Amino acid sequence: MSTALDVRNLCVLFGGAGRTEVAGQSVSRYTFEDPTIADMLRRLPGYHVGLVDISFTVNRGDCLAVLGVSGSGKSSLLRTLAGLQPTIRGTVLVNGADVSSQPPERRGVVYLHQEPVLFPHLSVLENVAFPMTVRGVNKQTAMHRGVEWLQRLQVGGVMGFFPESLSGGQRHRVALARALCADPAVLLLDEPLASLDPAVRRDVREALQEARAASGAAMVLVTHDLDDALAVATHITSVERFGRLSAPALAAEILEQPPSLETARVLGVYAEFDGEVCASPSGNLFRWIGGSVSAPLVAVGGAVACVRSHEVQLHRGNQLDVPALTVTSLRDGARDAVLTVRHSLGEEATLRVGSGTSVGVGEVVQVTLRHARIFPSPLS
Amino acid sequence: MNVSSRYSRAVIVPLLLAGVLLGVPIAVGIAYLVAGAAGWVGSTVPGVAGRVLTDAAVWRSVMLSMWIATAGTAIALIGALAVALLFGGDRRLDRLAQRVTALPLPVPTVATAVAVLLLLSQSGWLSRVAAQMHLITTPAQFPALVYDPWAIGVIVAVVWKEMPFLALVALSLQSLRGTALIDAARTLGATRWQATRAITLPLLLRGMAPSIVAVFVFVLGSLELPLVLAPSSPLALPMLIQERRQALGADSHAEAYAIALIATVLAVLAALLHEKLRSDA
Amino acid sequence: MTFVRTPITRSLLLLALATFALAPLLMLIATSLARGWFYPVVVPSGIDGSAWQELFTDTAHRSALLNSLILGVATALTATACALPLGRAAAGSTRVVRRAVALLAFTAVALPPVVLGVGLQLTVLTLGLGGTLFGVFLSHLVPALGYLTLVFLGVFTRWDPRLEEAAATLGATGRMRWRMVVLPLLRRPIAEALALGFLVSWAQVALTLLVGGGAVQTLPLDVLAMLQSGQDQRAAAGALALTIPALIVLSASRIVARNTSAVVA
Repeated sequence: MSTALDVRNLCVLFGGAGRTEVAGQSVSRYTFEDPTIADMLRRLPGYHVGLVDISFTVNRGDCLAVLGVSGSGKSSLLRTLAGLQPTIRGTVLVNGADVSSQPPERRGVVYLHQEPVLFPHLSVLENVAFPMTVRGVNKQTAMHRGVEWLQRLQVGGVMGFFPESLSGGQRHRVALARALCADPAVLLLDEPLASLDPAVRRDVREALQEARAASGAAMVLVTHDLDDALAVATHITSVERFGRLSAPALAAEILEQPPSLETARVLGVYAEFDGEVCASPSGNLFRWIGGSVSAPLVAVGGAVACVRSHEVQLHRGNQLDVPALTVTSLRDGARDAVLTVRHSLGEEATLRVGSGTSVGVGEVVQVTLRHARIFPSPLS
Repeated sequence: MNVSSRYSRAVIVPLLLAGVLLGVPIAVGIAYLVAGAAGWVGSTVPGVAGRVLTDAAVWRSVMLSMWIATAGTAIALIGALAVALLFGGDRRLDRLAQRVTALPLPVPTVATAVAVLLLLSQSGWLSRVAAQMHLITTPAQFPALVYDPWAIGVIVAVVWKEMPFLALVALSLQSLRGTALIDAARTLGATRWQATRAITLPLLLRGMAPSIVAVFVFVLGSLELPLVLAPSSPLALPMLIQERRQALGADSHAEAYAIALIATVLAVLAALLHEKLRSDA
Repeated sequence: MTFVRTPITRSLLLLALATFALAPLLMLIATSLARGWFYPVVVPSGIDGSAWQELFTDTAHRSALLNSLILGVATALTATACALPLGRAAAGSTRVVRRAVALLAFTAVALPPVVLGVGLQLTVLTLGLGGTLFGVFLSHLVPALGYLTLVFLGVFTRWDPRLEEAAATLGATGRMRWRMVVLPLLRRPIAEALALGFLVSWAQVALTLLVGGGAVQTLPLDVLAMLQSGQDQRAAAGALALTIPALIVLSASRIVARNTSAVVA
């Protein structure tokens, strides 16, 4: 069976009694029509609904990255999958078995906190061997496997030390080794690369890649950084409006064709401009102030184009058979340049092009798009 | 729904435990005080409460205990702040000072009382030193520092006992906060003393507020120190309660309960204040 | 104000501080060992250990010492065993519950022991425990529980819940988590709580007096009696005998703290 994790119609909650904080004020804007959820929540003071109707699967050896801004409920999703937060609706299946009502220790799911949580009173080796120790495995075997995993993640040298003397990157690697020593079916990583400086970040990214290669676990990784997701994951999904999750897309393809405009916005690498899709004899066309692009799959009506900076080509002058636009503002940055262009009829659009462009303010340019992703305009 | 039951269990269990372990003894104790004062237990002495509230001796006791607690706490606080400000660093001298300051902490109150008596009484050590220096010739010439109406001996003992505790609180607050705020103030042009007065002291006092209340109420209710060092007239409040309780006659007993109730009210008010300050901090 | 911070001034102040801190203790030591130390002699003429000897040979003193030890140990163990689960449950609950428990615990501590003693006296008499060691023990439990509840409330409020979460997802059941993660990290707070519980009972005067009704003699009551009958030397020895175990108990708990590499609380 290759599906390690199967989530069906999961409802994820925020908050709870005690000292758990309620994440994300955006929750209050969510509405849900289902009366049974409202009823259940009344019996759970302090809880709010975060994500609704979450369904996805992850196969063995794959890694699903969940993108979203802070507070959007990604951590709560992982914690619910791990059993650290209550499930009031939906099913979680691990290797085919329903674990929705199981406590965390019986799910076969290991959850890794954002800051590595190592047991301070145990040595590194004892930490890593912990999952075997609790399973009653003979001490020597446990230690042996612990050493193996530590070496596989390049931290064999610190096995005798205690957590307090480890560096940041080492702590992450030890926590990973410990998780993998538990031989989990599913590994959940909560923003593993957040708040790390670049050198450590690279180190831990490598560790995650090594971990994925070494174990057959299905990984679910939560992050707000697209580069991290692209580096480690095989599939990417994002948290959208009203607490939904977008359809998972292959990481290799998602930038080419994001599944929705919202996801495209979460990915954050596109410039957007408005236009309209009209019917034409050769198929639907997306018309914007700079010209038109074929959009065969998009319905007629208002639409938005998402374009990456290297897909935009600027041509000086007026030689092409497309409308001429005037550059009204230009801001050149390290990675790309943002410029605003105006049509003679007054409409403006904002474009992103490669940095170091030689075009200046006031010049007349024409724009061709090598590739554009067209989405219907959102109903706001 | 196992979640809501887990939630209510999280609320009910501690309340139940606390109720049984703490609430019941306290409630029972206070209930008996009320019953005793109202005359429902023991012989009835109606109007005791009224009598106690108008009894001048009672008010003199309250005043004395208040004086001891206020003066003692205030001086202990000043000493504690001085220690925290002067020896709050990390150098050898500082650490030595901190350890010396902490010496009196484990000493039981009775032992403190005995020691202070031996030092400060008119036939005590200081008096003998004064005699050797020919400042006085008889013990009676030495100022009365114990059994005196100003309860100086008690206050000295209070300061000795409570300053280490307050100093420890101050030192740990300081080490938690670090020097960031002071450094910021000084780069803005404040002198060390100005920065201390405007920033360190107010913040320290705010953080120490619950501890100060705690010390005040402990001293107020302490029996051991007045028992050994304080005058017999007026009696400190705890001693007054004990005296009336041990005396013969239902009248005195009922009075003891009534006075004890006054002390209870003070203690509960102090507890409420302490809790409010603690959660504000 | 800068002169205050010069090394000389600080050393002098340290000297004054040390004198202030040590004077009472030295006085006790001197008085307990002095032979025939009368006014106006400043330095005693000879050493006489008879007061100390008597403390441990006199049957009345011995039984008082024994009572104090029994009460202290019993209070320490019982109060710790009760306050730990209470502190943990309260810390994991809602803010209102936490504050209510803290308030209750502090009231137990803030109530003058005299008041508590007067109130509990009648209860204890009604239960037929008046004048018994057990009755006194029960009364000592109240302030001890108050102190220790506050201690454990603090410990568990600062507790990192993620440790147990991590252990759980790694496969540890509730009992295993308790044994392998929680308890080892509680070694230090438990040691401190035992020490504090012991001291609360060891030094107690008012409760023993009122609930024991004079029938239960403990070391502090002994010291007071000796003082009131003018036996300064014996009283000083008794006061020191009262102080030394307190010092030992506190340093012992500090040693445990230092040897525990985990610093959670």
